[in-house]
Amino acid sequence: MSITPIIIAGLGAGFVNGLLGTGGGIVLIFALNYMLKGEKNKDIYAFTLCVTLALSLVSLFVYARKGAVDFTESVRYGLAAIPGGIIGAYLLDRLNGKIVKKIFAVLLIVAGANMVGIF
Amino acid sequence: MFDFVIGVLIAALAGMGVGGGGLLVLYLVFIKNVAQLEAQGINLVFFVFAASSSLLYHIRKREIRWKLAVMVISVGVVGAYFGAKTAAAFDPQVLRRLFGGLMVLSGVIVLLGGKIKRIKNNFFQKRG
Repeated sequence: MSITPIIIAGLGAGFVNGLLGTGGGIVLIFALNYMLKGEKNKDIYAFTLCVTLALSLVSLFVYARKGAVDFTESVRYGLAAIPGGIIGAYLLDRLNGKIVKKIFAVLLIVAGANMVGIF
Repeated sequence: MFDFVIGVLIAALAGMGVGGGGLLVLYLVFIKNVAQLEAQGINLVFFVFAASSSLLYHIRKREIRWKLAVMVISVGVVGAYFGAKTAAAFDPQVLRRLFGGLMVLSGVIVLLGGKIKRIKNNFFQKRG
């Protein structure tokens, strides 16, 4: 496997993660689907989770130094994420979230359009 | 308390592959009126917790290519460092717009999911 796509994917995913606090996963999944044809989707997903976790720690470090992390609030949501994450991983194997995904996709588009300033 | 429940809900949805990192930021920005950069900061912490707990579950069942992971991470952390510095340097309105753009893109990708796969498969088949 050539190294260039790996470098581009890594830098891209890292930069987006740092810039927007999320989204590195999207870059990675696209890149990996291209680089690792034939691997199971769930394996790619787990891989992406692992990588973006590491990237988020670095981003967090910079954000914290800039005073952009409210630790009280963060920990509150962070603690909620532990049971949530376990529930979600459990459901991933058992539920078909297609319709829910589409509903939230529409929500993302509407909210996003508002943030961009379209309306 | 309500925030905590929202947190559990969003993390569960994210764990199922629904919504991902954007949902909490949207909640914080639209409903709790948190500033864009701070919302992203909270989201990063949230994600670290959510991903850690999710990963503990996935690690037993999935095959993760560790060597590749280390390679991507090594490069990625450089990107993350500069991305984060850029975020702090940007005007909040600009950041908000960029984030909004990402949300629109994410939503479109999900809605077009099946079609993207077909286009990709055709593309890669033709290149052989």
